Amino acid sequence: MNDPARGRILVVDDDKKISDLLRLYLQKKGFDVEVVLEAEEAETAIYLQNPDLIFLDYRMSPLTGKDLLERIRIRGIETPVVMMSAYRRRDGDMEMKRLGALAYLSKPFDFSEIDSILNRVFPGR
Amino acid sequence: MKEQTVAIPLRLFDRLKQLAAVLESIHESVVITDLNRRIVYVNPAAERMLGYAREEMAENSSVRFFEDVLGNPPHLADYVAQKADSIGWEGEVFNRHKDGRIFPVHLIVSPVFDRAGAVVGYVGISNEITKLKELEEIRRKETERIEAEVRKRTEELARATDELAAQQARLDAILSGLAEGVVVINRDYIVEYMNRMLRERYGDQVGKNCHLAFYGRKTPCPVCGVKAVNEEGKSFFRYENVDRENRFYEMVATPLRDSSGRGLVIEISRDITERKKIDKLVREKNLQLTEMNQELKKLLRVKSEFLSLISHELKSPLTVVKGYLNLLQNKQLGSLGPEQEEGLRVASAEAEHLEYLINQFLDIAQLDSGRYELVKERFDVRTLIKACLLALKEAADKQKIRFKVAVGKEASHIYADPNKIKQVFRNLIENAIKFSPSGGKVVVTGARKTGFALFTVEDEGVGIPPEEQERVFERFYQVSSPLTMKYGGLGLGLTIVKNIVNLHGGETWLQSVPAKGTKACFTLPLEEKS
Repeated sequence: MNDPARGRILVVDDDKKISDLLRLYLQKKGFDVEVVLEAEEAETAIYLQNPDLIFLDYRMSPLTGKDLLERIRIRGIETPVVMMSAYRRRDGDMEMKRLGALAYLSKPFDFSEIDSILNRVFPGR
Repeated sequence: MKEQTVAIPLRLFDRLKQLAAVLESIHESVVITDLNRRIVYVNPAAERMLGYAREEMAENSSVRFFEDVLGNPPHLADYVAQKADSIGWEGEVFNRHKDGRIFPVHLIVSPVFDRAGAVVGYVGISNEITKLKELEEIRRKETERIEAEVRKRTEELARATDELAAQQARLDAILSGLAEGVVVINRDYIVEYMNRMLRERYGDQVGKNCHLAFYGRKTPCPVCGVKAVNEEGKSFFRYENVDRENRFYEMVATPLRDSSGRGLVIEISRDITERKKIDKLVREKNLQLTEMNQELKKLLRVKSEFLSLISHELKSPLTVVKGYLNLLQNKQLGSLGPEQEEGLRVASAEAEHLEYLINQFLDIAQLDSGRYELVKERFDVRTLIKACLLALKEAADKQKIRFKVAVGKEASHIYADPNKIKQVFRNLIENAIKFSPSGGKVVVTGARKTGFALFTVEDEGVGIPPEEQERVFERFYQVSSPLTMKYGGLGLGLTIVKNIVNLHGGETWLQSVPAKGTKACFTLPLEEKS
């Protein structure tokens, strides 16, 4: 049977293919992964499942990743969030940190960067 | 001569007595002479006038009393007698008094005729006119004095008038030297003065009505300086007006008090037609520019959204492709044989290249839009260079490139946009790797000069022909070389470098010797520590 999961991760991206890819990668790494394709749905999922880490796409609609992050932070949810975006924002890092995101991940993914984030959030596991 | 007695009728005698009484009593002196001017009769007045008794004068020649008297012409008596012979004589002569005094008299001499019409004697009637003469003299003197006064006054007046005219001319000259029009108008809107400028433009309108003369209006202008000053008591009134020829003027009206307190208004006008035209043009241009600006802003917004969209649309599928290739390569989707590994390696490399191209394209598009703002901070450029080398390690190792980094401490702390500078180094080092021979050396240096830092990336590669050295910075330009063919690319690398460096206020250039190597150089201004 499976080993206990290293942790629970929530992936929020309206592009199903990218979400599936990420889920596949993270599962191979031994995590429990939930995929949500809409920001509103994500809010519910966050409350219900209480994930350990969230991968959140910046560009969604009607509610953007940025909006969602603000909302959950206001409600006191401290879960680490990794913001993803295809659009390379030059001040992305700064803004993300200001909004309360752990890191900023640009697309296409640099998997070594994903690995280092995972090691930070789940040290030793 | 013996006296003769004659018998006279009584009537005649009475008459004679009357006449005699008259002669005896009148104030005028009456002297009657015979033809020879011998005195026949003198009246009491004559006695008083001449100072002689009648007895003394009888039988004497009248000549004694007025001939050879100082002041009379010689032979006066003859002359007078001659004249008297015809119609009588009237004039002024001098007589001599018994006491020797000479005095002027008014004399009338008439002939005495007998019945036959012959002259039998003369009668002279005279008045002493000493007093008269004196009065005349006084009057004459007075008249002379008055005339002299009048002359003097007239001269003074003439001088004053000349002076006034001269002053007027001076004033007019000054006012006419002005580029502005000067007009003086009285309370009844009548023009009292115009300077030359206005005279030349409107003709002489002095004495004419101002609103008619200048504006062709029968009634005062709606906005009138004269009215404002006179009726509203304004001490200063500025306004604009248009004349008959559609020229615009800026007018300033002020009250002008002359010595009679007449309440004149002086208006100074400046032609602002050209200025208004220019103003209008400026306004129109401004409007145009504002519109263009709006257009540009809109276009930039559209472009920005477009870029964002493209970025997303291109990168999303690429994310998936690279993702799966990665999973496959890492054997997370199953084991791989050597053929599969090779295929995946190629596909993966191309996917990297595709990502690289897309990024370059997006970079240049972003830089292009000009909205780009540098996010400057102080950082150590050496750390940045190290990160670049690390990122390019794989490509470098393939070529067996050796790196040397020599960045002086004084040049290492710079104030710039780190992401953009990273890109600069990355592009330059990438090019160096691309064009270096196997086992070649790539040297990165940094040194501090006055006011700026100079960085270079040097390789031992094929170099760039002189005629192409300028052009390599052009967009999409690629040096014609088999290596370019091998590596492909959009030819934007150096364009981006130049763009970023220029935005920072620096310069870029190349030094290259074909077959020897290429040294890419750029400067960054050193900011003073704040």
